Amino acid sequence: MKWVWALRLGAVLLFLGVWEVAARTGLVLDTVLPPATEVFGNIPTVAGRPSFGLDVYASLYEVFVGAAIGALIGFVIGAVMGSTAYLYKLLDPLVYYTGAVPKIVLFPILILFLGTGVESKVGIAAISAAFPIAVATALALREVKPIHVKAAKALGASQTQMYRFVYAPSVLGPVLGGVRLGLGVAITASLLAETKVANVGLGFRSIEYYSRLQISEMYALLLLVFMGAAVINLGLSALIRRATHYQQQQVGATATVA
Amino acid sequence: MRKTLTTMTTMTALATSLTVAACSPPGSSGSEEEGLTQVNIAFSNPTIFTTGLPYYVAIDQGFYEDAGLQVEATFTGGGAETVQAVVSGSADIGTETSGAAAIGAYVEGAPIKIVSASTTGLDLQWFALPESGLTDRSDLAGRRMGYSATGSSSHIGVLALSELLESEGLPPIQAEAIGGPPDNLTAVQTGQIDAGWTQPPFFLEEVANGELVLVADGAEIGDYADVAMRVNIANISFLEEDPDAARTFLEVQQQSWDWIFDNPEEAVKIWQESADLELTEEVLLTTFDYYEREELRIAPLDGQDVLIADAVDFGFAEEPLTDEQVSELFDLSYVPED
Amino acid sequence: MWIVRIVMIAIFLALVEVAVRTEILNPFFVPEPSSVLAGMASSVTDGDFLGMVAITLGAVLLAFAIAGIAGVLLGFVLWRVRPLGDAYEPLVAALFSSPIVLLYPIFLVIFGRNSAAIIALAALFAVLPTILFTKQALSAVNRTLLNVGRSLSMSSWNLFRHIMLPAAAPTIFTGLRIALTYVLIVVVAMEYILQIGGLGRLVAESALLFRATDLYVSVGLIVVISAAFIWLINQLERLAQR
Repeated sequence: MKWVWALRLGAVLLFLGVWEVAARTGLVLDTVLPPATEVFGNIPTVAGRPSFGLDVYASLYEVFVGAAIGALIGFVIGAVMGSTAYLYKLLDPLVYYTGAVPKIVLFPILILFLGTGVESKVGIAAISAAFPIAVATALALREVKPIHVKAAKALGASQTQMYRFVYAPSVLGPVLGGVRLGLGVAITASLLAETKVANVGLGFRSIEYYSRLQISEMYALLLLVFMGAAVINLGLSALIRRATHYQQQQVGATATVA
Repeated sequence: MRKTLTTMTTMTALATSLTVAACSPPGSSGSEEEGLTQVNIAFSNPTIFTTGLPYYVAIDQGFYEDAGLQVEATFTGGGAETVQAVVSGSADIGTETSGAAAIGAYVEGAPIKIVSASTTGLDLQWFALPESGLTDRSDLAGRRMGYSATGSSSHIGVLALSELLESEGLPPIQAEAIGGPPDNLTAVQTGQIDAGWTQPPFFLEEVANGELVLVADGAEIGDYADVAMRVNIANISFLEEDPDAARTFLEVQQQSWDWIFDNPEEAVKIWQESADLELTEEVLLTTFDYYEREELRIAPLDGQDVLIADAVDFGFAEEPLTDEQVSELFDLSYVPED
Repeated sequence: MWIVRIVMIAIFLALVEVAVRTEILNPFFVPEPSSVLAGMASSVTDGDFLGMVAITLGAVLLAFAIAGIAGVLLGFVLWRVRPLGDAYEPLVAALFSSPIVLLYPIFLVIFGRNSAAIIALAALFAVLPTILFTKQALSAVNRTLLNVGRSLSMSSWNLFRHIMLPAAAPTIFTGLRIALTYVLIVVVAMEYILQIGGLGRLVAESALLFRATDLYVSVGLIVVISAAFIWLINQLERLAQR
């Protein structure tokens, strides 16, 4: 175990070290990569700006509301898809193929309909998140083991008990996995969309720093974004682990649709 | 069985929708003051003289308030993006919008009208790094030049210059959509493009002390001195619902510009503060060397034919407008009479 | 099966067609599906369009090749050298779920404002799931199979070639398919945002020129190309499993 952490720490230190040296010795241009110390030093500056709070709120709003709407759509589509074997076989390839399309190409259309504000970003986040969630939900519904259902019925379980002890636990794991993936793509989708057409938000702000050649501030902001995304991810993973401690997690089929 | 699971999932779906409805969107400044009409405007590059200054001055001096308006601005990347904001309803009025972009959008069915002129003449310049060896416009043949966004006046400038060079037998220019002057500087300094655009007084200091060289000027790119390169556009539904607001807005725009040219030093102070500029007031004052009050007039709108011809020439419209289309698109009835 | 799906899609498009013609849907926002389909058909013979498609396809294939090869190799290393795998797999997974794409300005500066930057970014992003899936695949090979191989005194190489590889192949292919999906997404997304390259750029410009039909045509083409790629990989997978 100690090895593992030593290796990780080692890799991080090596990375930071190379970064600092490369930047300071002029091996890499200042405009490409300012020294690590400078970037880290700029984190409080960036976070301290009055615009920061609003940017964070706007981006979080886009991500979470978008993911929520996406979950809504995803659950419904997934539920329909997973309800019978025929529908599943019929619809799964369609969802699968359309899921491989880069959702950002729909962004211009969303701008026309929803405007240039946060709504269009919520839209793109929702569409992006809907796919992995739909696929996960459908798959989860298909995979409820009939033997569990039969066994519970044989033991005289009531409908409520069926929900609580058979269906919910069985479906929860994969569905939550889909939600985690959905959240991840929602983050990428909305931040990326912000870099194109927006007035507020973390993605927008980082590109603004870039356009004003405030490169180290851009990196500082991106670092904060990455840390934030990591925290959200870890939080969700921990939640999932607790909720489904009776199941094992695997990189599964839900990752096929982004 | 499956059906029960389906109901379960739909119930969860409903639950999520309730949580969604509970959140309030950011930027929804619900503080709409009593008696003021809300007008949403959009324009690009707010730090620039022709775009941001009249807006900042009008706010600072209370012109909007006095006229009964509450104006909120959205900043876009320029050109067609401003038109996009107006078309989608995010903005009621788009100021400093490229005429060509507006024409192109209209031809494709966009519900907009051109309601006044905004800037007459092509007031842009292109700069490069001294080490690039570029000195004048013919050096730009075959090189990469930056503009803000598709359809913008900077885009037209690059396209027009390219056409000019091609007519002289030189290779065309590779035009790149980069963004505002700061983006162009970044792009030039990092070698992504050879020449970037700017508007005075930005980067004039750098040119003065040799960090940058000017390689092309709007004045030498075709005959645009009497053409309203940038105009003000408005959404048709907005015009139908509240024509007075449109008229009032244009009045204030006029008022703002009058004030700016009457009080240059104070205007510069407001400009520096509102746009958070690093340039000194001295440098900012030199802008007035480049502009005359007449060039920022909202009427008359000259050069309509050139705008239409360019729109066709550069691919924004497939064919020239019919007279009917022209009178539908160019509607200067909202301009105040003086 | 496919007939049912095609009929479903056709009915949907027919409904949209009616809605647009009767102006229930504003034709400025949504053009008639018939003109979009016609546009797509004619673009197949249009030189300019094909040029755009070629640029995007080229970028996708190159990025995929890099990500695929590097990913499988690195995934193998992470599996083979246990401590490395334990230490770095979570890091790779964490990177994968973070918005790496936002780092594109860095690539612009390093590679210039061209397809190279896009290819590099796409390859970087897609290498991550490839690594993860490859490592997973190799780790998950059934012990029993390995034991059988060992009891038959198979050499390490043969063990790898005849037991591990075929057993791991399906999951590795899944990883490659995911990598391809992501490469496609990143390439088109970057082309759209930067307005350089092929199809993504076409989408951006059509939008800015308010050419709704052209916009939907390019989107339609992207859908078709994505589907074609996925189908191709599925076929390859089937072949490899013989």
